[in-house]
Amino acid sequence: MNSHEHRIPVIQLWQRIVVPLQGDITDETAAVLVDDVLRTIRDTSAAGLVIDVTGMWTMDSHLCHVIANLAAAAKLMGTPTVICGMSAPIAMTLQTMGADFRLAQTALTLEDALERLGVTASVVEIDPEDLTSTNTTADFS
Amino acid sequence: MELDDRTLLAALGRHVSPVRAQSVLARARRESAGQTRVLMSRIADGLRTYIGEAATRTAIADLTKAVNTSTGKPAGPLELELRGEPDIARARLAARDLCQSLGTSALVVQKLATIVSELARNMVSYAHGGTLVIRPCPGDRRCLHITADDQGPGISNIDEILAGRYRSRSGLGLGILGTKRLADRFAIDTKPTGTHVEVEVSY
Repeated sequence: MNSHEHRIPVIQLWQRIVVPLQGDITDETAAVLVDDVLRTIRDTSAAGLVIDVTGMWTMDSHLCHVIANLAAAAKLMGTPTVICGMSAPIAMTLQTMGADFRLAQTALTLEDALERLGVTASVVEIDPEDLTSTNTTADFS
Repeated sequence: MELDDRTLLAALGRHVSPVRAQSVLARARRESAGQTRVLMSRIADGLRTYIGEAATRTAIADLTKAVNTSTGKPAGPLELELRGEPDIARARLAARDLCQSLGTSALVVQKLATIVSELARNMVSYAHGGTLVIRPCPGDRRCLHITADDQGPGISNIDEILAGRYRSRSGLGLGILGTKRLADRFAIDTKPTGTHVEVEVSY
């Protein structure tokens, strides 16, 4: 299969980088990912890196090692890493195995992770009327 | 192992309505393209949308039992040849499907998939590949037995690794020690002519 299809998105968000890991990650995808993320950090001078593992169904010691290395390299470049979204079974399995994530901070959700990196959200109530009037009049008139 | 619709529908009907049983089975048949192991995991996916995770596990265990009774034999051993890196991903996905067909908990799925992944990786990275077999433990115990065999050069510092005094840059140490910590029973025999690992995981 084409490696491009499996490329993991590297999202830029308020001078932070968010990487949502998903599905079953092969060694090749992981290697491309590390490359992509470090290049994006350098190009954007990102103030923080979030690795979101919500979409992972399993994590073995090799993938932990890849993530720990990525966090360590990002740290050398001056960018802190927060890992978020780990499921209970994965957390228990990694804990039993004795994997350590000392190089990165961890947070429960993506929101917590971004907060940890200094992003504060301000949520404004949206009037549903506004959305309807701007989006649909053109299509249905 | 060919699974007939009558047995499957009868078992499914004990957990969801007949109409839902029909639709779950029809969809699973369509998506699995004749592969038995995939069929079970698609049925599990279908059930989950109606009755949730815990009830799905019970239903799948019941289904597997019904199928085994009708075909007269328990689920056979799952044998996996490991040659390259893509086989590692294939092996852990096969382990997941097997767990789903047995109706194990999410934690056991995770444990088994991780153990399979670690054993497979060691064989692919350090022993030019090998064979992994997953089968039910003998007797009535709810447990899975995993063996990993290779003809690699053996692990010379195995004692150091198992004692937790060794951590390689590439992660070999944690793989074996992690497998031992996750397993309910663990035995390893490693020689310069090859390595044999036996693991049991209860569910």
